[in-house]
Formats: sequence, C-alpha cells, structure tokens
Amino acid sequence: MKRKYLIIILLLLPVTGICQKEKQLVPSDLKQLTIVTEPSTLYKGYFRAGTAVSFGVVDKYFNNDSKKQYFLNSAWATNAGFNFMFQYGITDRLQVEAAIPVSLNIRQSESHIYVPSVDTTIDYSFTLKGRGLSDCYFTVKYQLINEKTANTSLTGSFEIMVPTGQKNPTDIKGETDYKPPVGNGCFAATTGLRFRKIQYPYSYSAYTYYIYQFAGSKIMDPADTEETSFKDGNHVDAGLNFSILLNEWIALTNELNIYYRSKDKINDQIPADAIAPWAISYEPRFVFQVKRFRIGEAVRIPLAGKGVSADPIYVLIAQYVF
Amino acid sequence: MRIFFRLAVISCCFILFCLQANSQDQTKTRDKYTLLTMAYNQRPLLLYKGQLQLNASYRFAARTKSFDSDGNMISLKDKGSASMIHTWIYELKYGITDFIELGIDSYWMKNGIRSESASILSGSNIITTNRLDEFKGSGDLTISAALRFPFEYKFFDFMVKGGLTLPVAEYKPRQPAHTITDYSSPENFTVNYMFNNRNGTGVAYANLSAAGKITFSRISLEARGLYRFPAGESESIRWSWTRYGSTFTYYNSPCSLLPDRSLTVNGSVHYQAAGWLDLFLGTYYYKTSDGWTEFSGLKYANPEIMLTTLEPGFELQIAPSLTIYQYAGFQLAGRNSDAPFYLLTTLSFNMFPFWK
Repeated sequence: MKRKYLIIILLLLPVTGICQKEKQLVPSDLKQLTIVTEPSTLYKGYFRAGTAVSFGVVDKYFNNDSKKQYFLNSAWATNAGFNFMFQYGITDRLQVEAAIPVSLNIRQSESHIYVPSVDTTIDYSFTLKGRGLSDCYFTVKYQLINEKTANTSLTGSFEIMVPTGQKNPTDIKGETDYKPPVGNGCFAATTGLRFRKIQYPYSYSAYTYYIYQFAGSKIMDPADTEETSFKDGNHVDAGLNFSILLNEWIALTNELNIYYRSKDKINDQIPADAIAPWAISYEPRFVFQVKRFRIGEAVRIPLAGKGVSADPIYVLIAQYVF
Repeated sequence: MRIFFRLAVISCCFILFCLQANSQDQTKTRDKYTLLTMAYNQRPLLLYKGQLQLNASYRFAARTKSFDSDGNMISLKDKGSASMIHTWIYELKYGITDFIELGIDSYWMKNGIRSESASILSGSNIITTNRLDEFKGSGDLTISAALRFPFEYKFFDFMVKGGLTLPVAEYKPRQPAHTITDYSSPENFTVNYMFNNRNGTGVAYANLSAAGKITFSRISLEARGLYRFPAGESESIRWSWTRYGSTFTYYNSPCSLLPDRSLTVNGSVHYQAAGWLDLFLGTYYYKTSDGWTEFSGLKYANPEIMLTTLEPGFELQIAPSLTIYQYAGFQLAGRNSDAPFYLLTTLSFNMFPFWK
C-alpha cells in the first residue's frame, strides 16, 4: 500500500513541477510597462527622463470664419524645439515632473519693392531667429482613484508655468533685425482631471484641464520702448484618448483634443479685433517600448478651428525609466 | 556468430541513421501566419496566392530647395517660394497566384507654392502683389498586373509589371480666386493671386516596370525600373482675368500639352536585422523627357528633369497582418527639379481573405 502511495506521489511531483505559474512582476518588469499598461503615475522611487523633439511649419491657419487659409506673404517659418522632461514617483500615487523646453523659431521673409520714380528695385528680406530656453513647467499629479484596484484611475494634476523664457525681443537693431522672444512673459496655472481605464490590450482615457493665465507685461513690438501690460485668455483643454497594444511592445494611441481660449486683454482691455480662438485636433501616435526605453512618434493634425494654426506638428519622443 | 550479429545491428543502425539524415526535407509550412510574417529576405517580390494587401501612406515633404538647369542647388526659402507638400497614397494589391499579382493605386496631394511678394512704391502709395499656386486633389488611378518567376523564392527573384494610368482625376485648373485686401485707395492695396490647380494629367499613361531581388543570408539587394509614357496629348485650359476695382472677371482659353515621359530607377540594400525588422538604404533616380507645353500656338519643350535621391528607412512587422514602413528622402543631385526633403510612412495591412 505504501508503495502505491509512493508511486502516486512520484507521478504527481513532475506534474506540479511543470504546471502553469503566475508571473511575478519584479521592479525591472514594472519599468518596462507600455504606455497602455503603465499606471497613470510612476511607481514610488522610479525616475523617467526624456525629450520630445517637435517640428512644425507655418503654412496655413484657420481664419476668423473658421476657414483654412494659406499665409499669403512669401515667408517661410518653422517652429521647432526640444522639451526635456523629468518625472519622479514620490509614492505609487504621487508624481512630480518638470519640463524644460528649448525653442528654435525661424521666420524668413523675402520680397522686393520696385520704385518706378528712380527705376530701382529694393530687396526686402529678413530672417528672424528666436532660440533659447522657453517657459518651464512644473507639475504634481496624484491618483485620486488608485489604478491598482480595478485598472481604473482618476488623476488630478496641478501645474505651474514659470516664465523662464526671454519675454522681450533682444538685440534690436531695426524692425526686421532682432531676436524674437521665446517666452510668454507670464505665469500660468493649470488644474485638471484625467480618467483612465485599462482593459488589456486597450486603454481609454478622458481629460479636462483649465489653464489660468496671470497678467504680465512685455514689449509687444520691437519698436516699442516700454513694456505693455497684458493678460492672455484662459484656456480649456479637453480630450479623449484610445490606445491599443498592436503587439507586446508597440502601441497605437489616438487622441481627440478640443481647445478653447478666451479673449486676450491688453492694458486691461479687450482689443476690438480680439477673438476667442478654438481648435479641434487629432493626434495619432506610435509608441515603441524596448525594455525601459520608449520611443514615440506623433503627429498633431488640426481638424477645425478659429484663429489658430492649421499646420500639423510632428513630435518624436524618447524616454527612459531609471 | 555474436560478432556477425553485432556488426549487423551496427550496420542497420548506421543505414537507418543515414536514411534519416538524407531523407527528403519536410515541406515548409504554408499557413497564412507564416506567410504574413515572412521576413523581407525570405519573401518574393510579389504577394502570395490569395494575399490581399492594403497600403496607406502619408508623405510629408518640405520643399525648401531645388536644382536649376545647371544642377546648382537653390534655396527656395531665399526665393520666397518654399512650401509644404502633403501626399496621401493608397494602394491595393492581390495575389492571384504565387506568380501573378494585380494592383490598383492612386494618391491625393496638396501643395501651396508662394511666389516672392512684390510691391510697387509710388510716393506714399504702395501696391503689393502676393501669388499662391495651389495644387490640390486626387491623382490619376493606376491599375497594374505583375508576373514573377514561376518557382518558389530561394535567393533570387525577378518580376515584370505592366500597367495603365487612367485619367480619372480632374486636371483642368479651377477658376482662380484672386482677392484684393488692405484697400485704402486705387493706388494703395494688396492683390492676392490665387491659382487653383489640380493633380490629374488628363491623358492615359502606360507603365512598364521590372524588378530583381537577390538575397545573401540577411543581406538582400533589390533593383527596380519604371518607364512611363503618355498615350497622347492632353487638352487643358489656361485662365486669364481682368480687374475693375476689387472685382475680377475671369475667362479661359484652351491649350494643349504633352506630358513628360519618365524613367525611374531604384536600387536598395536591405539588412534583415531581426525577423520583424528590415533596414534599408535606397537610391532613386528620376528623369523626364519629351514633354512640351503650348503657349500662344507655339509648342515649348518642357525642361528635362533629373533627380537623384537617397532613401534610408526601415520595415517593421508590428503584427501578423500589420507592417509599418518608414523612410526619409534626401536629394543628392538634380537638374530643373524641386529637391524636397521628405518622410514617408506606410501602414501595410495584409490578409488572406479566402483562407480559413
């Protein structure tokens, strides 16, 4: 009888040895989570650094009648920049981050003027290059509803924009010979909520942010000798996001964004020609997760709007979790 | 006797071993997932039997340089006529057999080209002119049939393709939409000339192409050639206008043109870095000839265009049915041609719709 039990035990031993096991997540695995499966804030003690390179050409805009139009003057302008981002998880629910952007904006204009009275043609060309540190952002995010329990989270955020960028034109030698500013010249505070649900291999989110612009002063035109006080209109930014994992390490995210900004004020008054710009844009993004390294490629495409740019913006993102 | 027995057993084992070692190879698995995930260096130039491929591409080009008739590079930014070109390309292909493929493709393109603004200054009055030539709309539709070697791809392949580009797209320019802005007096205003062109050619094209591919382990070489020629002349219109105050009156007159013949030659080196990743470096040579355009009853030869481009890129298999291609274009040399830098991204969706 004992021999029978012994044989049964011996037969069962290899069965338990090869049975399915639950995978234990170790810290290195958690650092390799994709944009779909990662929590909405970093885990405690994790640090993520990265950069986003953006590029856009000034070609078209939505006019005050919400029609897409070309800029008609013979000019070529590009807006490019590096945005260095640093994120740190203080707890599993609390994250702080800083964004330090460096901008490079170029505007080149070419035209000529013919003066028949003296039978002379004057080339009127200039290039303006604004480059340098732009306004920095500092953000705190907290998971009001923790993602760990039901793969659902509600994250609140508070952000301050500090006017670290040069707000006035510099090296002014003439109306068309100066360095344009790369900063906005005022503080801004943003508060908002993001709801997110993960249903592997998908994730859905919806967000809304309100941006309050503080008053400031700056030189509006290089010919001005004194700063003018201003207050940019407050913004509302809202959107929906749908992400899908195409395989274990590539995700496709789709975002629809709505933006509205109230009218700006100059010298405490709303100018007669001021408008309240708005935009609807779509942003598809491929995100490649190679272990702790993440590369993303995105295009923000304006679909409709009023008084805003109608040009797509290209963004390349590289991040690493330490 | 025992020795003979042992020798017989050893001999049998040896024979069996040899038989097994030299037996016929097992036929390669031919399930749809294997075919859909076939790496570039292992697949033929055409689709497999029953394979359907849908390609959607977006080409973003910054047209900031061009080559003049002597091959010198000109900065269009300095000329005030740099522009952006947005192109969406659609392609549908189907493998009738492992050796015959049918395809259909077209595109939609938008390009707004500004000219240098010009002003006439007279006393305190100034009249400024801006000009924008927009090319917007669908291109013509190309249907094609391709044939390759009738045997399984090992390391070499060759195919020929014939096609017809049908003039289905609109090609006659629409009425211009000139405007007057900043009007303060008859001697002080801005004229904005806006020309609305389309991307059709108005004439059928015949396309003949051939391609070859050879693979050495992870490295493959591919060469393609395409010759296109129009079936005949195209009839179009040219717009003129008169202005009275801020009102433009337009009228058109017929004109004829013969679209260019073109030759395109591609060569590329591919490295299969992993089963799902192919890196490549390609060159692209493009040349046109024999076209003309009529002005006032006289035919003027179109400048012959020549352009050589370098195209580094990659092919990435995301899922069995989904592949992404991306490559950039850097213009190396040319004559009478724009030289845009471009980035082309293609999403390729593959399936076997009639396989269970």
